[in-house]
Amino acid sequence: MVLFDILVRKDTPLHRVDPRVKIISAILLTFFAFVSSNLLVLVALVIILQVMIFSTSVGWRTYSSTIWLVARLAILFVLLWPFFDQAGEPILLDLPIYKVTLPALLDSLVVAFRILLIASGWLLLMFTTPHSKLVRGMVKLGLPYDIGLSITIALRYIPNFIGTISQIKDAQLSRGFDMDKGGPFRRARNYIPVLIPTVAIALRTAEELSSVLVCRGYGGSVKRTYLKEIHLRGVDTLAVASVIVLFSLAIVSRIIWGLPI
Amino acid sequence: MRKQRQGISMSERNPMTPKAVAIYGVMIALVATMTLVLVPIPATRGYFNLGEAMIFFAAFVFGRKVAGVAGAVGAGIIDLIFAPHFLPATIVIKFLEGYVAGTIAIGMRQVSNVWAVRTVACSLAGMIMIAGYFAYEVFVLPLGLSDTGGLGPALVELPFNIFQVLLGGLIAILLAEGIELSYPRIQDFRV
Repeated sequence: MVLFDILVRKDTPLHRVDPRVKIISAILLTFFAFVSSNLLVLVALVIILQVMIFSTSVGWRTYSSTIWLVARLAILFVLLWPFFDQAGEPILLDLPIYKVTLPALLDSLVVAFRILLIASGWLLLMFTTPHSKLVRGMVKLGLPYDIGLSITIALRYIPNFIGTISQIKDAQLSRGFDMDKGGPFRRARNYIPVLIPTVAIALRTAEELSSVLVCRGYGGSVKRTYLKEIHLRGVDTLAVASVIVLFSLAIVSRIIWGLPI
Repeated sequence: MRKQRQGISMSERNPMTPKAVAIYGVMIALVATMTLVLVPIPATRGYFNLGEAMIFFAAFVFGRKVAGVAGAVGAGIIDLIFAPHFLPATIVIKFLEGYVAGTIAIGMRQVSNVWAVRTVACSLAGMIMIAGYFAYEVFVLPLGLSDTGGLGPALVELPFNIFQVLLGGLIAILLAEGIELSYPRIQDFRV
């Protein structure tokens, strides 16, 4: 079974923050990461975010396995950068086609920390926000309600479909079907006998779901009410205001005034 | 009269049918699930997957809107957990991929040779995906830095993406044919 849900089931201050605040912050942080090319700022922000992630008392195993997938690409950027960028003066390492210079090294580190920063922001969101609240937050921020409902349905069925696939794979294996033979194209075709039943089951699920939605009066009422409302507390308003002001100031000062942030 | 209209939001003035909501939900879940089906080849993105196959399948069977939304949201959900640094690229690229594949596949439905139409749809949409991720790693991630240093990781990942499109297209064409034979009711599902 694949690790799909990385929510940390605790109740820390960051868990109690309104999902809308977290979504807006993550989007602004992503935008800022692309705009900024100051290594010190990026490193500082990455460190602050790691402290915030650990304040959610996330387990070391979850943290290390998710961050490793991100760090792999960051390390790759630093390692492969000198093959294509050898500009600049102070040469640190001089091999035939692999010449590391200080400006190029700093550039590659900027990209690496940019990747880590974007990933940390979104991971913090995923560590502290249950799926239901995430979708509610997105709907409140303007996502059409129907799409929000579809996403909720999808999130509920992903674990089911993962189970269905492994079940059908086992069923075909028990009939003597050998999946791990042949070259890549042969192997791709080997997935067809597993995928056809899976998709057929999924389509039957969709048929049932549409009847269920009709039975529960989907689309009936004009004004929609919700069982679980989310509310902006005073702290949340303060947080979202300060995040917006801080990041817009930083982005504006970088793009318009050209400050090295 | 005026007051009543204010209470109606965008989505409720033009509501999706229950069938459409169910199809969107299930296709998003299928794309996300197939993105998790790992074919073990060590790529920089960690997993080589069947997500492409599912997006193409959605494009062939349900058209461009379902394919675009299912691609963007389904792959986006997985990227949120396994590769958040690709999230902005994934949402844009996978939406375009599904939208283009669906436009070609449904728009050229009159052509009798279904295989040819679907192959064209897969290759054009696949090219968008390959070029999109390549550009993201070469131009967008090193934004503001003057040089071409991002070429290395992009070149490392390129063959895996090409492979993923080729295998995904093959699987999608075979799968769509199989499903249309074994589940004929799918004709009533088009949203």
